[in-house]
Amino acid sequence: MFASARTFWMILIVHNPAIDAKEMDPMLGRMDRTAPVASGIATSLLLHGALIIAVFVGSIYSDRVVEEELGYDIVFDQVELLQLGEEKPKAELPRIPNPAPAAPAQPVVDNSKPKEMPAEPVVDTQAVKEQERQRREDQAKVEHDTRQKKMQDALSALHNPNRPVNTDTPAGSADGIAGGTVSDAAMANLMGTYQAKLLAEFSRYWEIPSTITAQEKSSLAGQVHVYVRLSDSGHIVSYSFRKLSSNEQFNASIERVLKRFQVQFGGRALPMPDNPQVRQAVVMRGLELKNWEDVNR
Amino acid sequence: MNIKQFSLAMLRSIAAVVLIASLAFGSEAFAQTSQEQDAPPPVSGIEIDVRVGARRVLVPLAVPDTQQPAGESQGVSTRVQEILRRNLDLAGYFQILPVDSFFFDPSKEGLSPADINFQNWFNVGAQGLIKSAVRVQGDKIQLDLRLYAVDKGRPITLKWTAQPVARGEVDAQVNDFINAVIEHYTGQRGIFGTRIVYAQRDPNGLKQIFSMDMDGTNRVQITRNRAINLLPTAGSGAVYYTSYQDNNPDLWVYRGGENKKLSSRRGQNSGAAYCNGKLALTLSMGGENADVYLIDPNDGKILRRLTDHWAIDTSPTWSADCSQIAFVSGRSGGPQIYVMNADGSDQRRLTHQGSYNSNPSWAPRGDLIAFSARDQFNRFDIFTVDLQGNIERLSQDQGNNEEPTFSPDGRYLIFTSDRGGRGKRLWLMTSDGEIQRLITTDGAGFTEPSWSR
Repeated sequence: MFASARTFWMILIVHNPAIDAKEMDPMLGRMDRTAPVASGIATSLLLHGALIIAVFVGSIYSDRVVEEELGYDIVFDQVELLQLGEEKPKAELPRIPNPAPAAPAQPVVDNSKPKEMPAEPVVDTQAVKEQERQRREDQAKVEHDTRQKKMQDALSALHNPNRPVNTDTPAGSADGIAGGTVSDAAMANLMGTYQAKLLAEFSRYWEIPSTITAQEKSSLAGQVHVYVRLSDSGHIVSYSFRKLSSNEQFNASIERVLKRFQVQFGGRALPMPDNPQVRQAVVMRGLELKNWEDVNR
Repeated sequence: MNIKQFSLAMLRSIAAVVLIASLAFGSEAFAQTSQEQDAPPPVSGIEIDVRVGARRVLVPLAVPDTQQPAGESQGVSTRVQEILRRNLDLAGYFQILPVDSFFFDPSKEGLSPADINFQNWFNVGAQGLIKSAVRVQGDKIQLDLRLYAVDKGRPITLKWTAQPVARGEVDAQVNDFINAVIEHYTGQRGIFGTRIVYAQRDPNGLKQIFSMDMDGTNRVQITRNRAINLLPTAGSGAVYYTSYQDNNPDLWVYRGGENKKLSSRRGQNSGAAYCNGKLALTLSMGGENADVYLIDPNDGKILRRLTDHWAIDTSPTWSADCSQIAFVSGRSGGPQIYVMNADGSDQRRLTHQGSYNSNPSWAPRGDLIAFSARDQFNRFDIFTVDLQGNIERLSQDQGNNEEPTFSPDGRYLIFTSDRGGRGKRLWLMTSDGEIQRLITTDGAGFTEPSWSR
């Protein structure tokens, strides 16, 4: 740095006619004008070059020093990527479910040209009749022979003192009756099946007016109780409300669904149990329709 | 009489009384016992729990043409039957049976039960029947409006009485009858005859303030200036709105047929909401960001500052009891719905779904707030949120639907929609979003409705 400053100062003195160089610098009096400039440039180049070489050598040497100090290569084994956190679900506004309606089933119609009917074969009717008659005669003879044999075997068995006798007691209920009955469990099972069919029919025809809100509907559940008598064909012959709700529109909606199955109005028939005993119980005892709760929101 | 004779006489008297009493009450007891023995016990049937899915249906109503038994009514009968059919349909509870589905001539029937063949009405599927007649008596109109239950074949007593009215009051009386019919079926009176205020863009691109009945009739223009007027709200017989007529969004009030400036602070004076003598307003105080303030509805003086946040706070709406305010704030980075107490305390965020939620309207019953929001498809729709932050959607896939306002009974909402591609119009829907009907059948550019309570 000092050499550079002196070089700059020397250049200034030498090239400035106002300055007496010999007075400024006594050494300049004994030297040529170009020599100081050249020496300054050379010095600067030498210093800069030395600096560059030093940086270059140092960069090479430092890696080697690190390696020599450690004595081994740094190897990363079993690297596991850190989890940065779970992706948050997007806070999007809800959408109303709107399933596309099912496409209507198209009837399969075969529009292709119908195949031509094969020609009818020529049949010898006389021979066919003869064959049929023979076949019937043979069959009758076989049946006759079989019957005769069975009769002979049965007659023989009557006179067999060693024929087997069944002394087992037949299984049955202690309070069973001739012909058998449906047990309680079976009755409950059959009644459950019947109940499901009956409720499916009510669900098809029960309509609640929109004047009743969802909240009102849920509060009206359990308030209505109807006693219904059915005919053997499944029509309602009579009904009576044992208990009514506080909402006239709700009561009227239940009465409308009952009238749909009432015989006086030419109504539809409700499903009846297949089992005769269950059917008889339904007709004799009637139905107590309770609760009347709409499960739809 | 000596003591012995007296005692014997007393004993005979007591014995006679006992005998008579036993004969009298004993026969009664015997009769009661025999009655109990005679009454058969109720038959016990097979118990079945009816838990099924029922269908929710509109009540089918038949509304035949209005009769004119006293001669020509100069168009009043046509007007009456139009209002009956349209508004009963608007109510969202009824299915008005088409007139051409009547296979008989209803004009041959009278209005009294003896003149009506209820079997015919039953056969066309009607559950209710509305019979109407008009008589002109000088300059007064006498209406005869009746509701019948078809299945019972008898008239229904409504909380409505017919009175002779002037021609200009016919609409109001018919709406009153309709409200009584709704009260019979739902237990709550209808909302026909209530009014809404709104802003409508005119052909010059400016906006003026109007009011009208909620069914779209009886429109009255409130502002007539060459400026933009917006965000109207009704309260206590007045209409508050913001107007740029003095080159600043000032708050004006229309009362008694006159418009008066109420708040003219530099910057925003907008989004007024009235509740029981209190007026909440958005002010930006000449450069500060917008915040919600309480001002005096009479002189516009600031009573209290409710929000003080660097983000924009605007669009206040009051709860039914005037104890809380819902408003829109951008403090979380985008407009969301917040609630606070009426004194500005306890401010908390309500909506956490969606990125752009605005235009809150608090229901007059319960704690439900309707608002418009932009969904993931960049469409605006109407939603409701309760105070627990549960959001329900009321409209979807039908254009852009915004700016909801609740009816006074909370059963309906009016909102703007551009569905149908005919510009923004006003629509009415039930509060569950199931029934939606167009109110403004003519014109477009309807915005910012506010239902008067």
